[in-house]
Amino acid sequence: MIVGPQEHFRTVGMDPAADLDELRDQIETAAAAVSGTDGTLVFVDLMGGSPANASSYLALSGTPVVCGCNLPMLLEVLMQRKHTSSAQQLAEQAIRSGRESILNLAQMLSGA
Amino acid sequence: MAVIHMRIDNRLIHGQVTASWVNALGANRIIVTNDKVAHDPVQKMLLPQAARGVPTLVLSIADTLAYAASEQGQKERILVIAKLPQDALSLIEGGLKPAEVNVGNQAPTPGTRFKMVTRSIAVTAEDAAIYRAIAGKGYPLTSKMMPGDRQNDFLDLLKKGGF
Repeated sequence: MIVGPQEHFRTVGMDPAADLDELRDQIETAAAAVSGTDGTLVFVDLMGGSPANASSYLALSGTPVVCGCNLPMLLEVLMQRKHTSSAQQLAEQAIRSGRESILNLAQMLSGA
Repeated sequence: MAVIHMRIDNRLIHGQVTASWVNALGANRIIVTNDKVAHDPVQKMLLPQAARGVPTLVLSIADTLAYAASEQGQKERILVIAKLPQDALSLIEGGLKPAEVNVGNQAPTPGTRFKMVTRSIAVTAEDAAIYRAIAGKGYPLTSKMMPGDRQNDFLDLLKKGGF
């Protein structure tokens, strides 16, 4: 809706009755499917959740797995990725822009 | 005090579910119990982090029993998370005396004849027998996802599921 359909981009949804091993499999399959020459970047909702746990084997082998994904972070990454050739660098940009995008509009508008 | 609550959940420690239970129970120790998980170095490293500050051990059934009976264990308010119904039964048969037993998530195992008795709990005939055995030892089973959920009787859910 905002940045248009994406290539080299997969989402993995999770069932309430998810099995951790199966989820791990789905995530790793998706990661392999999107992988280009510069690596793969994984986003999950929160550290300690099942998607994060299931991504931890990927993380241990060097794939950046960013927890606490928010929409601005994702948009930034989708726009910047053609200019970046390192998944690690992209992950760092994602975290920076994710953090910077959290603000209180009332404060911002009142000039406070 | 020892084991104030035992949760049967194959997703182990996850998201807000575990945090909410720890807060509601006033637990100061989590033990994740399953022989296979206790031998997985990744899980042993990851689960304590997922527990976000609550001291966590990832132990086999035997080690869980030993810890709960130990002097240290007796002083703590322990939340035991058993991965599978069989783990829970083995713990109870081994002498663990949880104050409450709660059935959380159980994913269906592909290739088995299962039925979803709730949105997130798959049961086979073998599982049903295990749950009944747990109840038969004097441990009524409830199935609350979150602490504020209504109390129910898991055996009723089994009956409704045709088990």
